[in-house]
Amino acid sequence: MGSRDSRRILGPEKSIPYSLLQTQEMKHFLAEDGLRWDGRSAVDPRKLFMSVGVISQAKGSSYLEVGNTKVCCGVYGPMDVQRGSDFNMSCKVLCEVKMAPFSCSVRKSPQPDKQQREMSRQLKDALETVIVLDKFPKSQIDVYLTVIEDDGGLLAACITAAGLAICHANIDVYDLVIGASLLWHDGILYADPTHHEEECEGHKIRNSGSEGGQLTVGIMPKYANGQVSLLVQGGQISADNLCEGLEVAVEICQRIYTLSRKTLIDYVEQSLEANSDSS
Amino acid sequence: MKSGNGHIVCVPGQRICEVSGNILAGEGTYTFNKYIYASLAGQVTVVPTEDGQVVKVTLGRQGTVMPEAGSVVTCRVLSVNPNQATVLIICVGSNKLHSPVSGTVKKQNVRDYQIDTVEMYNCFRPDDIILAAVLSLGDLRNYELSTAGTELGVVTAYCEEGHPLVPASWTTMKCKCRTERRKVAKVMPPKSTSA
Repeated sequence: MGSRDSRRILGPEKSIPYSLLQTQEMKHFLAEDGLRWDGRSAVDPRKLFMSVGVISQAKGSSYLEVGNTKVCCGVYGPMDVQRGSDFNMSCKVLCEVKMAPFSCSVRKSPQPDKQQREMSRQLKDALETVIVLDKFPKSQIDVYLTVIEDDGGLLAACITAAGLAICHANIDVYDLVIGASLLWHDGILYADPTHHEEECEGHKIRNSGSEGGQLTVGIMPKYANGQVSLLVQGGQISADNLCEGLEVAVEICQRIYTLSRKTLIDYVEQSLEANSDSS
Repeated sequence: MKSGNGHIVCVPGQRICEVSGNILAGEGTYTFNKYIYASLAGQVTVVPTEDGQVVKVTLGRQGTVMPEAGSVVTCRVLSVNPNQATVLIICVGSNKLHSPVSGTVKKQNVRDYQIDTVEMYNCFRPDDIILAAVLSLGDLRNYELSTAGTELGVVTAYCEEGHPLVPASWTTMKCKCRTERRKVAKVMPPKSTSA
């Protein structure tokens, strides 16, 4: 009774989703023709959609779709620090990733769980390298991410969405930051894994020596010839494979960067036209 | 950098030009390794000044600026007590702040003569709009501001009954029903010839 959420109508306490009881068919990662189950090859990234200016109350905002993963980001600031924080000559970044309860096939609790808190902390570290913090003393920048649907590559999508939203908010940054995610399974590198692929890899019982794992990278493509602002790796991957994976990730980020840049330039040209129409 | 209709548009991280003798980095840019890069998404403009040419990246809507020492800010007075007036800073220069920040005008910073005999209630009242200069970042909550100077002080105010006040002298403002005391700012019209 103590942990029940009294604001919402929940199912009976002993209920579990039926999908957990269905026999999970283990889809082969790669079929005989060399394609994954959704028709991509092992190194093809998924389709992208980006737009900025989706939340009117926020200073900057963006919406990103990578395949079926959908993330929305709102940026507020720079504003006064919260009461009770220390005086700081550089800006504080507050980052919160919130997954909607309907974003996964198993309902997520509205309170952030460990995974969301960990993602928020990793994202905050990444964004602190991108924003020019010295420009905003005694202030804080709030970045709120809402995950509408999680279909794999979540942290990477969050980084890209946050990077776009911060640029839209007219906050000085060193570069656009782009995220990419990779997966190793049975010795093969897969780019931009879906949720199902990540789960199958995560559940695999690993004997020592066998390789498999995931990698999420956040990259600033142009600053100082390319810098890594976030690197999260899980599982067991050899150093050579990790280096090869990083190169593949950089390539994917370059492709995403072209679309990010186009989205921002379209927004700038729209603003300039609107200003010259009104003046 | 893309150009459309003759504007040069850029995104953050794009290299604009080399830092040379008379080319300086302005707002919306940063320098790294002797090159100037953009740090905002916007239009690149080059403005000639006495020191040389300043490269700026701006978008029509105002850039993100925070008050810094020396900038002139527009504030609304929130409360007045005998030692200081608490204000809400709403604009920095001509840029409106997306979220206002707090500041204080201490009794000794109101004017530059007879600073010990200042009566705060005769200088500011709540809901006045004032122009002030930022002295320092102050402490955690409030910026430290000063209204010492002829062009700083109360710009817009209302009398106790709600009528708008117009400046009558350095220390008084008049409305149709009464005269009230304020520390008045001499607001120069935009195209004034220097005296």
